[in-house]
Amino acid sequence: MKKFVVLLLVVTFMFAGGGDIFRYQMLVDQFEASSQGKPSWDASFFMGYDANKIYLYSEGDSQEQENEIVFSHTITPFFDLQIGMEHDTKDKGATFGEITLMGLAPYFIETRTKLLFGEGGVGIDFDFEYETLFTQRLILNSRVESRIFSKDIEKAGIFQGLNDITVGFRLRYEIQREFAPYIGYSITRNFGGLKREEGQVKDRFVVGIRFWF
Amino acid sequence: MQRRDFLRSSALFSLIAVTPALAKKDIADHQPTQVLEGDEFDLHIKKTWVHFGDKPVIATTVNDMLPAPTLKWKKGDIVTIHVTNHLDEPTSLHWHGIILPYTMDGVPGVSYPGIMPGERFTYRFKVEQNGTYWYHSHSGFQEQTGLHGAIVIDDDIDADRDYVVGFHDWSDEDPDSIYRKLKLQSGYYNFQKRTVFDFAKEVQQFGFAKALQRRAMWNKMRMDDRDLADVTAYTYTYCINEHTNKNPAYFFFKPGEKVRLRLINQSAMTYFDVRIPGLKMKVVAADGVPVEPVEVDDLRIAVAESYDVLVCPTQEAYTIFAQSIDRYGYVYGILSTSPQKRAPIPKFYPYEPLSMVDMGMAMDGMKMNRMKKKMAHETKIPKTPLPMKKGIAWTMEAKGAMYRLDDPGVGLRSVQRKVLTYADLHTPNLENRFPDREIELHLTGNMERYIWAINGIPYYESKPLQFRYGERLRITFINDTMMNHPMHLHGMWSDIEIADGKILRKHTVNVQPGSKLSMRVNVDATGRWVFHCHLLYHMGGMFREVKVLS
Ligand SMILES: [Cu+2]
Repeated sequence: MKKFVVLLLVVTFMFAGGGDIFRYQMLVDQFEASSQGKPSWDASFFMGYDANKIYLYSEGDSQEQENEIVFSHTITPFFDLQIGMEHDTKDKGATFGEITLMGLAPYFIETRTKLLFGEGGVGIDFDFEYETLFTQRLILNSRVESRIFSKDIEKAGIFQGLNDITVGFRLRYEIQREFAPYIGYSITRNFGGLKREEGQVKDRFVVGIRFWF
Repeated sequence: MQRRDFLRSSALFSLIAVTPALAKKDIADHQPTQVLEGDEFDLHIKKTWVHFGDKPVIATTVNDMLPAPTLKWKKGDIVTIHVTNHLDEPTSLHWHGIILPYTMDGVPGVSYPGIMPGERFTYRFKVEQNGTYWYHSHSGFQEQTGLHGAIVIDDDIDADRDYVVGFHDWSDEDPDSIYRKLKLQSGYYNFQKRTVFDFAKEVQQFGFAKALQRRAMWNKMRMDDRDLADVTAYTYTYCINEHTNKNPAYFFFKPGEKVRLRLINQSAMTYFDVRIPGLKMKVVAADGVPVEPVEVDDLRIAVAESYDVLVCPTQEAYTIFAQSIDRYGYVYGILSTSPQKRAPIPKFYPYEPLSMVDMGMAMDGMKMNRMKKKMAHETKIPKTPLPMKKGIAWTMEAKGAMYRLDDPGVGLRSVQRKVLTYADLHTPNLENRFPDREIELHLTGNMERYIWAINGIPYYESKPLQFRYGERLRITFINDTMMNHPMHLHGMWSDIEIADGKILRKHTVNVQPGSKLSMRVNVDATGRWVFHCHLLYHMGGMFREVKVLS
């Protein structure tokens, strides 16, 4: 793992021709609590240049997380290709390699679509987001996430086929661009083969803050 | 900054906030910018505390003045300017629009290494021209923090009063932070984005299907028709000669006098639409060069441009009103017979989003006629191909880009008064040689990522442009972006092709979004020059070195 991180750093800075000033950003897109369940987060950090960046992603709560580290290279005006790895801590945990397409699709739909491979299987992760402006500061973020996998990986709580779909709406108020409290509603439906969660629908109301620096 | 300098500057400059009590002091004590005359000048670049916006911050000043002193030269003189750098970073001064040897041009890394901390550099050159110009730093973002001033070279335009009206966009924010924010979120400063209610209004107006269709075009291209200005009054305090609206600049006159206003846009990023309600402005010079006079009600002044206008006020007071192109902020000055007399502040012109015209698309019938002005001389000129890169710095192609010299531009198209356009201007008595060859420069960008480039290639990946000494070059711009770009070539004049073989001589050429514009250049100066967009935060990418080979 350490070697891998060092390699990413070297590659990014070797291609510092990726242009313009060095910059970084810490974005905590979701940091929220709901009546049922633990506080959870969805955050990312990047550093780099116009074309080459290193991203760290973390999503989850105190018990289970998906953490990623990727090298991100801009391949078209609106899309980055990311190569790296993801580690899921659910149950006993599992590590995957990933190839990801991240960017802005027509109609201003933001997406991160991951191809995961490892633990003897292949999977796809979708994430689509869309922002609706009610005012210049009152913004509704709508998000759809899903995971499909080729086989059961019991130790990571992954099952074959369509695992789950989460649809979330978060209405935030940007006091500043960098700081926005929000309220939201999120609903998850589990599909796949593992008995304990099959067909379960979980929904929750959330309050949280979104911030970056 | 050294402590001694700090104390000295605080004694000299009353804007300074040394203590919290002083910090609250109003800008009313503004010490007027000096006019320095002669042929030898001593300029000291320093950091000085100022209080313009909401809090005291540090400005970059010349001789502790903000804006920098106005330099008055005489044509034919050899001027000597000693510039001492008291900063702890390199600095430079560039004489914008002045024709001079390239080693005196003041662009770090091209004409000289720049002026290092503690160092003194002496500029010496012969003044070969008349008119209104300006100077500014070409190092980093220093221009944004105050390092800009006017140059006045005597000429024979006759007036009873003569004033410099220098526009600027001041920010309390560190320019590095502004740039970083634009890189992280290009719409950071835009608080006039389209909302669902705007869409609802369109549905009411056009019906659901048509409204959806109108949006689809923009949405598919991932472009925002409300992206008029990158940096706005959200962070900017607009000023005239560094007077804000809290303490506006006064320009006095006696009724019946002829007043000359030297309008200079010294902003980092802001286009201003200027008018003086109740007065016609007679434009007599553009970028320092006399033009066939033309009377207008309104004019848009691009960043780095200058216009000399004559006004004949008869009432007691007028407002010089300058609204930013995005209609989010304004600054006004007072043209008046006494400090007690003021005129009302007019309203903004209505907000106008960008249209298909600005995307370089074929436009609706109404606009068609006026835009379709054909160039008289479309004879073949040999074209020299340049490297192009359709990479990440090129998101839009203005396939139907047209010459739009008579287009007042977004926000001024529906104004029912006379708005100045390039088509109204022409520089008399200039030889207009037929060009020897042509090059085409696409102004390109990626607004989503805030990357700017020429021909899709940002400066850091570019090779210098090669001009040949003695040639007459035609440069055609195609603006493949949704923004105006004020293009500035150092060392040589830019002769814009106006219809009917007429030309307009300028140093800064505004290329409207989605449009095309051609200019001719007499390559009459050897050396290393630069050619760039004058918007401060576009300059990192939309920049080229120019080598003139003999
Ligand atoms: Cu530009």
